[in-house]
Amino acid sequence: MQVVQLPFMTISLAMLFFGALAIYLLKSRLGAGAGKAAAAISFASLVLMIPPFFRVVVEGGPAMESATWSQVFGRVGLYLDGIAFPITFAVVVLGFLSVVYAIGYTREIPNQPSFFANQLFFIMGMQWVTLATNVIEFFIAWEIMLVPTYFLILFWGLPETKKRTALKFWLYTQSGALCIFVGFGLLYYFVGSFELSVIQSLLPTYVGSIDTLKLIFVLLAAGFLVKMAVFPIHWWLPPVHAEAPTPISVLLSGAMIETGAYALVRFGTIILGIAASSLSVWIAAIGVVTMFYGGLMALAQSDIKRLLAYSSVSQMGYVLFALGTFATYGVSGGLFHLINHAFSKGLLFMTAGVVIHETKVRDIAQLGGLSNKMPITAFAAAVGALSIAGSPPLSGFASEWMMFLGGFQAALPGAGGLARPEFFVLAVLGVSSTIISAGYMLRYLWKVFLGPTPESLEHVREGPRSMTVPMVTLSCLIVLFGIFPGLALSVISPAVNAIANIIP
Amino acid sequence: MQILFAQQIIDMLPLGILPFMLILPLIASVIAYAVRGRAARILTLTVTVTELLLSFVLAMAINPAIISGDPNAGMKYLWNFVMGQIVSGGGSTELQIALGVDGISVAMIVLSNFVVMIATISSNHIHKSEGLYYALMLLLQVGLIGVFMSLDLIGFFIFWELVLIPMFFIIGRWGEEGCQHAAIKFFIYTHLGSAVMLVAFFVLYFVAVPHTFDMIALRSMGLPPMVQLGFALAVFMGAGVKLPVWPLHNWLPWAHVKAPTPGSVILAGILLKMGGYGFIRLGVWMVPDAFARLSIPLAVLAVFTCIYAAFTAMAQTDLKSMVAYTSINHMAWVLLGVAIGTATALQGAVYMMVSHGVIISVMFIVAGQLKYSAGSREIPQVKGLMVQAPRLASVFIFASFATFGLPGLSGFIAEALILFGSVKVYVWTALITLGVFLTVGYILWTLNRIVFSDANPEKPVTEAPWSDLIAPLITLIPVVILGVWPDLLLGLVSPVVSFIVGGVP
Repeated sequence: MQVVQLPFMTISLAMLFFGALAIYLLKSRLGAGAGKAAAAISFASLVLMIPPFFRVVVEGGPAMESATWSQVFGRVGLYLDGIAFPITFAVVVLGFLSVVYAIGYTREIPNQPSFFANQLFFIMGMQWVTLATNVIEFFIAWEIMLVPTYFLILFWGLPETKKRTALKFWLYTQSGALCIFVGFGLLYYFVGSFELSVIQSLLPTYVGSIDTLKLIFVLLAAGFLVKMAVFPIHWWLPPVHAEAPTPISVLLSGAMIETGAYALVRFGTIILGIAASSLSVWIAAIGVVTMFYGGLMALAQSDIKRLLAYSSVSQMGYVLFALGTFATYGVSGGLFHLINHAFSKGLLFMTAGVVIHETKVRDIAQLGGLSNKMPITAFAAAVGALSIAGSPPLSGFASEWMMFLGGFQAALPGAGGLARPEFFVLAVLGVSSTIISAGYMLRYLWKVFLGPTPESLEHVREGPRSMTVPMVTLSCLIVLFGIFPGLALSVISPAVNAIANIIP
Repeated sequence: MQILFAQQIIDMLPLGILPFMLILPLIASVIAYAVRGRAARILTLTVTVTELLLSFVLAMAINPAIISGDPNAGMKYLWNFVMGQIVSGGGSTELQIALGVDGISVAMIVLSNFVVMIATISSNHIHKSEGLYYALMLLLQVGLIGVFMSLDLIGFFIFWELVLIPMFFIIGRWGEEGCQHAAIKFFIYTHLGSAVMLVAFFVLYFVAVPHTFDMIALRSMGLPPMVQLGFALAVFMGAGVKLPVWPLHNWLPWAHVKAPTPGSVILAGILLKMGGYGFIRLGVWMVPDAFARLSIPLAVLAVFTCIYAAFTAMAQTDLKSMVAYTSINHMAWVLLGVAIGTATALQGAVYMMVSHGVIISVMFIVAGQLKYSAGSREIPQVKGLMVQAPRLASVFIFASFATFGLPGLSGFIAEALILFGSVKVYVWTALITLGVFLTVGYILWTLNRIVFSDANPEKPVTEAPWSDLIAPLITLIPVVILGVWPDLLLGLVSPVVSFIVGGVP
């Protein structure tokens, strides 16, 4: 640690919080300038996160800030290490880009300052979740993510169904959160601390039955899996992601559901490693089922955003499978995929948003041939879709590939032959589901951007600059991570290797 | 042929010749998308011609001889790029692209660059979204030559899959009616084949000690026989779809017929050769023991595919469809050469790939041209080509003769090498000559119906303009040269083949 160390992560969060508050309070003065102010605030918080990222990526150590909160709850703080890095990085970058994107998107909607204030609150919640060091702190942040999203859907969602959708979103995630809450309670009961680092060091000394740990794991996992929208508790996701305003869909699909995956690694794989490894086959199996279910449903959708939403379900299946392997390649690949999915799916939702914004059409059967009308969007959509489909040299390829490698690693530990055939079967099924991913992504590209242009769309033009710039930025990042996956893997992979009992 | 001058050119290139050849079309592809229109076509032509010249330089500079005990297994111009490192347990694995070439790869690289150039020249009828089209074409070129250069299973797979996407769009966007169905069929078949191969790559990785994706290391490691056999079967699935072999061939006629002419040229000219190359590089080169065991079933399959495809081709009425089945027919020879695995047969297999690549390109261009000149490709509908369009007819006749392997043209040498190699091992493979007989039959029959028939005044045929005939005429040059000067190619191939046959050093 340096001598003078500003609490950058705290300031970054505070920046978002007070910035959002200021925008909300000054809404009558700001008016149409709210978007630019929000972008500036978000950019400032991104810049403030650079020193912690630098510490993790270049110096190789964790960044840590903490303070005592109360005698009962112990210390709270912010902690960035190799496990939290991918998701935090994804949230911070995608958060800023989504705010920029929203400037163009919100031109015609009412009450812009409130929209941006809520969006900033939302980003703050996600960023906080990924950095939390205390169980209670984690839970608070976890719930904070929920509130602004609820309002965003309720006020700016699809007019016909927004009330129902918002309610559905709240109730589903709340039910998951309650499971988590009970799980945290049991954890506290056995360990006697709320601090993650203490729990992590004390839990191995726990001498009770493993079934108790399994119970806690199942409770926590249930909550996290609702957030990830894993089959069969995924129902909230397609309507919510499809009907939320697009900049929020970008964040929901790109970042929020991934916090569930991150939490599963943090609490499941790391803290409850014994329970996680004994239940790993089940986790991987649910992952594989989700992959197929989400993929097949995506193939059948005609609503442009619902297609992408189901694709997210399927992609979370990949991540869950990877975490279920409980092997170094798998977990590293899964964490790396969080970045890639955030960028690729965020990008795809942005392209869908531009299409809807410019054409006012959501049905892919009525779209077509837009690559001539909006070449930048078409190019960005191709990059995003092919990255999700796992096509080289885009970043999705590298991570998907590692996740499946992890599956085989779990099946063939060491050189001792086929030790766990069930993982072999799951991994083979997983590989074969990539064809479904490729199928729905190509269908999306095809129906929307290629083929003949319907006459009704002759007047369509490229989206405004504030929408195309974030898309181009994300495309470049996807290519960059595709060619240099080492940038992220050099951080993730040592951290994953340090997890106890993981298959090396 | 090591020419000092060529080596000097290579030394002047930044990065080394192989990555340079990969990066040039990659950058050009982005530019082509940006500039659009006619400029994109000119750019693509320039780049493909440059690439072809570079590959000639490479062929002239390389010393194909392999010293026994060479740790690089005869690979030259090695270059690698580490994309990332995954730490795991004690060691670490490199996610890398490793490039290197030997004689066979160089031959295939020359072929791909040649065919891509021909396809670009023959794209003069493409006017819809030209920027995107040429960008995809250049991307395709990156994938194709990348496959032939890769020395690492990850890199190999990256390029192998990279070919798929642009081809999918070229078939589906610029093809004829029903092309979308064909594109999807193409995609599903080849992707499933690749997925099987990917699984095999993973398993091989974990079986190898130490874990590695390096093809040279895997080759010299001496893998357990059952693992080799499993890997060989997976390669059969991956490469067999591309080649294609009989039960896996169903995508091919669709894709070839519905694709635009340049697309068909690339499909038949090089994409199928990726399959053949996969068999040689991942099969007999990497796991020779397993392929020796599979020799008889593969040979049976090859002979059957050849005869089956010949009969099917005879039954086609669409000229393009007939040519497509001819491809299956000829690629069966490659499989036979691989299955036999003796020096002569393997040389024949490579020779067949190169010669078929150029000949079939001409056939597809002619078939595409018929659509413009006669308004139809249906063999019974087009009559009197010789009288009405003598230039097009001459090209067609010449290419047809080359297709069935007229002595003096390149196809003959290939068939002779494979056949001489195979009858020595299994006498019954001589049955494949029935395939040759049938091929001669249906091709002459087609010529009779289209070219040497009386003109139908109600359906006149117009002569093809010279601008459309440039591409086929250029393509016929190597057909003749390779027919009379086999050592031009065999000089590159034979040292590698004797290295393969000599077994693991």
